[in-house]
Amino acid sequence: MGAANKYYFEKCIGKGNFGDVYRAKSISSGKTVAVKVVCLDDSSDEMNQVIQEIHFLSKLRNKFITQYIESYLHGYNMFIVMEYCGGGSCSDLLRCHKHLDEGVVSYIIKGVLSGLSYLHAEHKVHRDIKSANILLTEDAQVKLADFGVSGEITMTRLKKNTFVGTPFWMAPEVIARSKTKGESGYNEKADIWSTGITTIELVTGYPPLSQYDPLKVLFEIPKKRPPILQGCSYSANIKDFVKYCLLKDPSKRPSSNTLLHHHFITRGSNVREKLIELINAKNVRMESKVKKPRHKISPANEHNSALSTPIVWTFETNRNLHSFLNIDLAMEQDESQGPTKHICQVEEKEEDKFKEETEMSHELVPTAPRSPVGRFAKDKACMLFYCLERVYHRGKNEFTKSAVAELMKSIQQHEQEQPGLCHTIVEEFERLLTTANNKP
Amino acid sequence: MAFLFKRNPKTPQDLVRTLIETVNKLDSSSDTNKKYQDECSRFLNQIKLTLYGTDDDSELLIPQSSDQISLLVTQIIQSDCLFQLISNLSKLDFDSRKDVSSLFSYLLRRQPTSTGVSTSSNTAILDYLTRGNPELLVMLIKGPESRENGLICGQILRECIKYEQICKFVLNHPLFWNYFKYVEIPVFELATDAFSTLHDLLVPHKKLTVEFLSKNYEKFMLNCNQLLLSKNYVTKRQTIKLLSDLLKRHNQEFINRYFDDTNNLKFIMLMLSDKSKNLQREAFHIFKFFVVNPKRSQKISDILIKNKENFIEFFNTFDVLQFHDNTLIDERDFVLKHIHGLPDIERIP
Repeated sequence: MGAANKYYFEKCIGKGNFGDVYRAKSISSGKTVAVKVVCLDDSSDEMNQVIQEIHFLSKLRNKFITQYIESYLHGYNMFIVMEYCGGGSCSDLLRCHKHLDEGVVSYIIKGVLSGLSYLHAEHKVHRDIKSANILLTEDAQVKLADFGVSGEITMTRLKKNTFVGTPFWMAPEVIARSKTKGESGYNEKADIWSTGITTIELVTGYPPLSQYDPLKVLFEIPKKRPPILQGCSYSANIKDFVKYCLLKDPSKRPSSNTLLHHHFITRGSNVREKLIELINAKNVRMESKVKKPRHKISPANEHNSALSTPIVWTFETNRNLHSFLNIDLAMEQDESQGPTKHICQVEEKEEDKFKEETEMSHELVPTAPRSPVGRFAKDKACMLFYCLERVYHRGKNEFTKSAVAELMKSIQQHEQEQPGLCHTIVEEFERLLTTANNKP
Repeated sequence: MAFLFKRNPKTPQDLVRTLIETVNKLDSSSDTNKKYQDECSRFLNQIKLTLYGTDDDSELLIPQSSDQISLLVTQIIQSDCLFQLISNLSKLDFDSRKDVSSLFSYLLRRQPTSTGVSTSSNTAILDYLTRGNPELLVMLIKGPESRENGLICGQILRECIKYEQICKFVLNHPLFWNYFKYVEIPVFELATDAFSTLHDLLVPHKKLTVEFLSKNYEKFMLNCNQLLLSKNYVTKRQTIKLLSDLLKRHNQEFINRYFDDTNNLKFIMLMLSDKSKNLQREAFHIFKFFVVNPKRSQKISDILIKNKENFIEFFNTFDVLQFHDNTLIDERDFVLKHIHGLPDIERIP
């Protein structure tokens, strides 16, 4: 758990359905990092997905994707430490500048395609390409974020109808396949569709259909014809690029490598300086804003559990009898130990029996109390206390036990006042038992 | 300008031999290391290109003759190439290590072709790994001990143990028991990766599992139950899931022993009262069998009876609704009915 104190959390910089992202500083190196916090106890299936994803992340290294650093567990929370991108996300940029011009969009999409090209060569589908998942460094490098962890979880939630995100960027085949509850048989071409939608989003400010209810859109996308980028303010190149990305048949959609050769990408001018200006303007405006995390990071010991006081289980079997025997011996030190031994033997025999036959009847029991009769023949009062002791030990909770203890105490008092009282009571029992036994 | 194009070895024999030579020259403390790393990377790429017929950077397909492939495969297995690669894994660069992993998976997944001779099927590699040079598997088993290579070794080992004979080799190796320590390594990735290996060793090969558990029940349960006490939440959940996966019908003997062991019941009860709702749920799915087992032994019943009120209290707070699982609710009711039916007064010992 030492890792938990390695980072100093500064502020929440993003919130998602499955976890919030914080800006944090490494205490040892002073380096700023992004830490995604996912609570593993919230859902039953997500834990393995998160673990698989972390394994995958740790095997990736490419300048177009945010670099995984490490992860650690604290209580139920998984902390995934990633490279920090000071330029924020492209959706932050849109929030500030409403929409971006084509040159900047071409530059950003080129970075997206380069990142996808790497991921796809690693046989990985990002599944969640959208402006919010395209990050920028302060010097305007483009990096893909949030591959996998969110993507995979989004897919399971969609399948289980517990999905709460927005489907605007989803490829028709992704929605169609998840609805049929079959295997997620779509491939990396789904990312190309999402890239097309993101291109529209960046250049117009919104993804298509965003004016509609997300749930309705979920049904519309597979049925509708692919969206087209229209309007005389957009160039033929970008319209053509979007058209190729948004081919409904995934097998006809070009790969990220092919699209990197499209005129929209290759004819882009160097807009990096311009983008840095846009980022700076955005950072100045957004810096004061603090995002409120959606999830509280709950320490392990304060997890909301219905069990307010932990249950204390009772495990020992037969131990009561042993302690009882000890008391018994102490009481009757001068007596011969014969009967006690006898009890022990009975007990052992019983245990052997348990091992042999699993179905143990309760009938063996009466042999035990019969044995001390000889020992107590002289003073029948001891017999009564012996029985009461046993009742005490059979009591399963403290109330019963204390009631029996009270009873014993007061009987003792009465015995002192009326010596022989207990003896008589036992005699009465004996008489009753003998007459009952002789009757049939 | 011909000198700019580095000469590549021509024949498969040359390629494998040069790769081995270069791998042995790797020395992370030397200045020339980068040069040799790059060369290794180039040779590995060339091998990959020959075997897979594609290049990572393009979708260009370069067809290779199956003779050429067979020759290369034979050469790799007959030479000590794989062993050298694994021994020097940490000296290779990041991407080369992944290439080594895909080389293994190619060799292991390779199926005999209709025209192929016996060496072209994967039996050759299986023989090599289990008999030819078992030290290689031992290195892979010890993988989690290295922070750098743990994940790559884990990946390769899991690819290997898909084959029953290798899985058997690992299960019977004394080092197998180290996995119960590896899963507690503080580095998250390594610990969880070791757990997937443990799972893959114990679950998919049913026949081997039956055999293994029959031979090693005591030791296995001791180790497993110990993991249930782990401070690491993920380890606990993975362990209880592993137990659930093993308590399946084909493991009848294990089931009988497990549910007759009061010690196991105690550990499961401790899980029931854990604060995590998912651990509670997983524990319940094992606990229920202790209760409804028609062959329940007296010693198990004794513990259940002793804790009757505790169980009733537990089921009062066990929030099944949050799981949106109707079967779970039915099962809860069924188990609770059994609990209510337990005698109130303890059996007289």
